[in-house]
Amino acid sequence: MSIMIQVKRLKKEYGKETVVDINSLQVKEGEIYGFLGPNGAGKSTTMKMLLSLVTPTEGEIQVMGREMNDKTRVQILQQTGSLIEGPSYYSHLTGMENMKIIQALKDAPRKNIDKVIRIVGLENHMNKKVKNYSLGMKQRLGVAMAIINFPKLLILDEPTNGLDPAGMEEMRELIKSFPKEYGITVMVSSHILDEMEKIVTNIGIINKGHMIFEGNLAQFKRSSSPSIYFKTSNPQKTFILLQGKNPKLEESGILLEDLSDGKVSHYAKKIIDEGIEIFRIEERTKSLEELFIQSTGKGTL
Amino acid sequence: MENRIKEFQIENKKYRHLYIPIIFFLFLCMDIGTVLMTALDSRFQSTMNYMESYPWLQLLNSYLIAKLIFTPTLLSVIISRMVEIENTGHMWKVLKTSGWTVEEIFNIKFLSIFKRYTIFQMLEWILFIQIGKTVGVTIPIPTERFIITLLSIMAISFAIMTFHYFLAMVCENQLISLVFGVCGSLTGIIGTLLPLSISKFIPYSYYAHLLSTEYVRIGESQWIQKEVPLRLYPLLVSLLLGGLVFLWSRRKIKRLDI
Repeated sequence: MSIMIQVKRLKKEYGKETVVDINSLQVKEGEIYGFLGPNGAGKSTTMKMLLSLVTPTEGEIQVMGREMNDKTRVQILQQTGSLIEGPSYYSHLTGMENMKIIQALKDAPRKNIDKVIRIVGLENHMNKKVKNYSLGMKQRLGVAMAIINFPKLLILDEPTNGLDPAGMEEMRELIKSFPKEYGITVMVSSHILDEMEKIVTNIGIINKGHMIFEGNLAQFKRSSSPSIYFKTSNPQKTFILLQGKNPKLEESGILLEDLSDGKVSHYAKKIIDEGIEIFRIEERTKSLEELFIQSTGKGTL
Repeated sequence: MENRIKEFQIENKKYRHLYIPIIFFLFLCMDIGTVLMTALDSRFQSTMNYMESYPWLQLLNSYLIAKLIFTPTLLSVIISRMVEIENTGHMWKVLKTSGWTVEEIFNIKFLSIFKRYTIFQMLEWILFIQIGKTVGVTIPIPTERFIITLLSIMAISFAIMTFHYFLAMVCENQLISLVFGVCGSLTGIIGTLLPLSISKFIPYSYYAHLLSTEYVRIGESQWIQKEVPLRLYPLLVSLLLGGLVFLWSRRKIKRLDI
């Protein structure tokens, strides 16, 4: 499997403020790479640097095995599709007129227009002016524009932003289909982590401009041990009993972090010895969102 | 060359439904309407075939006054509309990620605007001469003066255009460029009332510096019209200024991150 994006010591400074400082980022061919981070973490700036929309202060970017510079950027960008910070379009033109402009701009075959509008499901709206499109339709048009030449690499920045749940589901399915059906490697950023969890294979987590984790999603989840939930007849008493272990009181039980199997049986015995009944012991795997909050220290996304 | 043609074709496709020709037509009506008012004036018609009344230059003067009043506004409106479509739809990103350089985008859009203005200017010039001939001016056209004046008008418009183009590119709020356009017209008019040495610093007033006749007092209450020597500095200064602003703003835009 070859490397589609390789970044080394990438830095972007605006004046004295460093907005991105990434040691390494790697996207492999055929994967869906989730680029996660809270708002303002530096996701869009990083993606813009990958597309040479923003000039890095320092660092090295390799896309499809070639270093991104003034000489190579045209060739690299011709094999790359992107949707950055929301869809781009000429609102005074119809969907079809927009697609024709993009097709000519990217030198893509004319027949691709029909193909991509079918893929994104916009075939019945192409004669409408884009200013009359819903946000979901604009997003889909943006994706259609990004894949007009069936690029090898697709960079999508928050593609589900502003979409309703049905629209998000459609977009997710669409993104999932790209590597399998069209051989397109996808790098997708989002702060809606549950959405990402369902589609990505590898992830990179960025916070305050720094990459705090990069690797497999399962690996990331394994890196944090699950919580153990004890449902008892007297949660308050259980809470007081185990206070030294930093329990979290819930409605009908308590939650303990980082417990080995031996500790689980030890605490269970201790609870029973105090005359408290245990109804259920559950292992709770953390959602990506919880893990994310834990690793970035952000209470809100 | 083939690439360049393709780039212009793409650029032209963007301007559908923007009513650019209608805007040009409205301003053409205002410019030519001003010339017509002079041409149909009975005092002009009674003297238009006397050499010393300079009929062509009188018509040219009224045309230049119209240009002074309306052209900065026309240019700012046209430029705003043609640049705004890229700003509002965030299309700069798409253009850049399609493999175009900032210089290419900058050049092609500017040339597309300038090409349209040139067609408009030529059409206006033909109509202007046609009006003179239709009302019956038989005195020969002062060819040299007319050619230099036409070139000067183009050069002044070019200089104004480069400034408004830069404004439209960097300010997403197109009202800023439009306000500058209207203020430019007003400054130009005010500039004509100022001493020449001062108004030379106001490029918007350069259209008025091309006025070809002036009234000279010959008695207590007697004035005669006299031809003003041809001024070349509006042409030269505008070309130089426009060229510098164009190159400087292109460099500045290139450094801006999108």
